[in-house]
Amino acid sequence: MIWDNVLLGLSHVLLPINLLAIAAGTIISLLVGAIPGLSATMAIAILVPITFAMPPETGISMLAALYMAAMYGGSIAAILVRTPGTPAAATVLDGYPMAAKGEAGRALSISLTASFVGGVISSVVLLTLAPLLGRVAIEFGPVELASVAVLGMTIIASLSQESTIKGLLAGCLGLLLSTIGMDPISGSPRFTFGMIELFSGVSFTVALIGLFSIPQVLRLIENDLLDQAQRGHIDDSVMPRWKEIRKLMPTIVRSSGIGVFTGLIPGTGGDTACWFAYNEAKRFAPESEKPLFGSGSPYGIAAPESANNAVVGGGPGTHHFIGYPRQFGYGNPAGGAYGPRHHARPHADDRIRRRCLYAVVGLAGLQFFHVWHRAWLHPPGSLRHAHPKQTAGCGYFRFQHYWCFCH
Amino acid sequence: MTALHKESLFALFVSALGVLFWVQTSTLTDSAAMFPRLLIVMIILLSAGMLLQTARRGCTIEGLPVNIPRIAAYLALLLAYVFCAEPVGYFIVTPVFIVVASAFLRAMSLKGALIANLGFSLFIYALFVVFLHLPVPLGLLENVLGG
Repeated sequence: MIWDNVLLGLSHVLLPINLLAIAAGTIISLLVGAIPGLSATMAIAILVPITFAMPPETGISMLAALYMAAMYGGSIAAILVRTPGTPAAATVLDGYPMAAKGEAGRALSISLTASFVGGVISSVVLLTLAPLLGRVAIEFGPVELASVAVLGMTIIASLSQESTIKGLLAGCLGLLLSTIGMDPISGSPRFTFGMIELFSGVSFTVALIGLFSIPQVLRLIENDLLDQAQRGHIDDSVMPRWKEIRKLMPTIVRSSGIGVFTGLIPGTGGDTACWFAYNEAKRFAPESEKPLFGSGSPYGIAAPESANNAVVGGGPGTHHFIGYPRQFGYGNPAGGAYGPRHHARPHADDRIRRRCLYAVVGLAGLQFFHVWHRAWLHPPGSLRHAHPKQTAGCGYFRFQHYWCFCH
Repeated sequence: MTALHKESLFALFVSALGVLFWVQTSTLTDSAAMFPRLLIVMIILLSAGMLLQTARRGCTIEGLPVNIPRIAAYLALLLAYVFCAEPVGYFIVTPVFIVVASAFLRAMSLKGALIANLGFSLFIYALFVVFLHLPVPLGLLENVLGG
C-alpha cells in the first residue's frame, strides 16, 4: 500500500510539467538563497500567487523545491562570503574558515551531501511517521516551548568555551534585541523609537546580515590586504569524498533526526535546529576534532546543513496533521498548494493531501541529482570565492541541468 | 589597538545601549519593562566581568591595525547612499554605490561590478517595481520608470 503511494507520488513528480516547476523553483530559490538578505520565505511569498493557478501537486512540488533549494543555497553564501543566506548561520562558523584555507570545494561538497541526506531522511520520516509525530507535536504547549527556549540558551555555554562571559553577554544582547517590537503580553510597542518598521521586531535575516556581513565589510575596510590572500580559485574538488562522508555520516544522521524533531515543534525552524545540531556535533565529535570547531571542522558544516534541510520534512508534518505552520516559510507552501482548493486540516481531502505529501517525498529522489550535477558543473578551479555574483551563477547552471534532465 | 581597548569600547557601547533602553522602559508598563530591565542589568554586569577577565589575563593580544581614514571614507559613502537614495532614486544611487564600494574594497573588477550591477538592478526592478508594485524610491527616474 505504502509503495503504491510512493510510486503514485513519484509518478506525479516526474511529470514534465512538475519537473519544469521544480526546475523553475530550484533556479529561483538558489538565486534567492545564495543572496544574503533574501530568504526562502521571501521566494515562497513571491511565488505563492503563481501556484494558485497550478494543480496542487505541481504547486507544492514547486514550493517544496523552492524551500529546499533556498535552504541549500544559503550555505553557498555562508561558505564563500561569510554571510548566511538562510537561518542556518552555524555553517558560517566552520564553512568560511575552511574556504579561507583553500578548501572551499570540500566545504561545499560536505554541505551539499549533508543537505541531501538531511532532505532524504526528513522526506522518509514525513512519509512514514508524520501522523505519529504530528500527534506528538500537538502535545507541545507553552511549558514545552519554554523548555526548548531554555535548551537553546544552554547551547551558549557549549558554543562559548573560550569565554563564557562573552557568550552570556552576547546571549543577553540578543535577547534584548529580540524584545524590540510589540510586547506579546501587554501589546504595547517596546523600544520602537517611533519607527513603524520596528513594530514587528528585528527580522532574523536582517540580524544575521548585521552579525556576519557587516563585520566582514569592516574587516575589508580596516585592512584592505586582509582578504587578498583568501580570495582565489577553488582548487580542490567539489565532488563528495566517500571516505570523508562515511566518517561524517553518524553526525549527519543524528543532526537530521534533530532537524526532523525540531521541525515538528510549532514556532521553531532551521535556525533552532542547526544550532542544536551544531552543539551535539561538537559534543559527540572525536576528541581530536573538537578543537577544530570554529576553525574549519567538517563536522561543523555537516551538522547544521543536514539539520536545516531535515526541518523541511518536519514542517509539513505539523502543518498537514495539526493544521499549524511550523514557521512562515512552510506555512506558505502548504497554504499555496491547498489555499485555493482545500484547507490544510486533518479532515481535508485525504487523496489530494496524500498526493501532495508523496510529491514532496518524490522530491527527495530528485535530490540525488543535486549531488552529481554539482561535481559536473563545478569542476575544481571553476569558482572563486568572495564573489557573490558567481554564487548566483550556480543557480543558472543548476537550471540548465534540470532543463536538460526534463528533456 | 589591544584586546583590552577593543573590549573596553564594546563594553562602553553595550552599556550605553543598555542605559538608552533602560530610559525607554520608563514609558512601558511594568510587565513589559520587567524582562528588558533584567537583561540590561545582566548586560552591564557581564560587560564589567568581561573587562575584568581581559585585564586579568593581560592584554598581550594585539588587534589588527585600524585604518581610520578608510573607515571614515566608507562611512561617508554609506551616509551619502542612505541620504541620497530617496531624492536621487534607488536605481541611480545603488549602482553608483556598489561600483564605488567594490572599487574601494577591491572586491571585484570594474567591469565585473558594472555587469553585476546591471543584472542586479534589472532583477530588483522587475521583482519589486513591476511584479510586486512596491514603493521603491525612483527619484529622478520617476517619470521614466514610474509610468
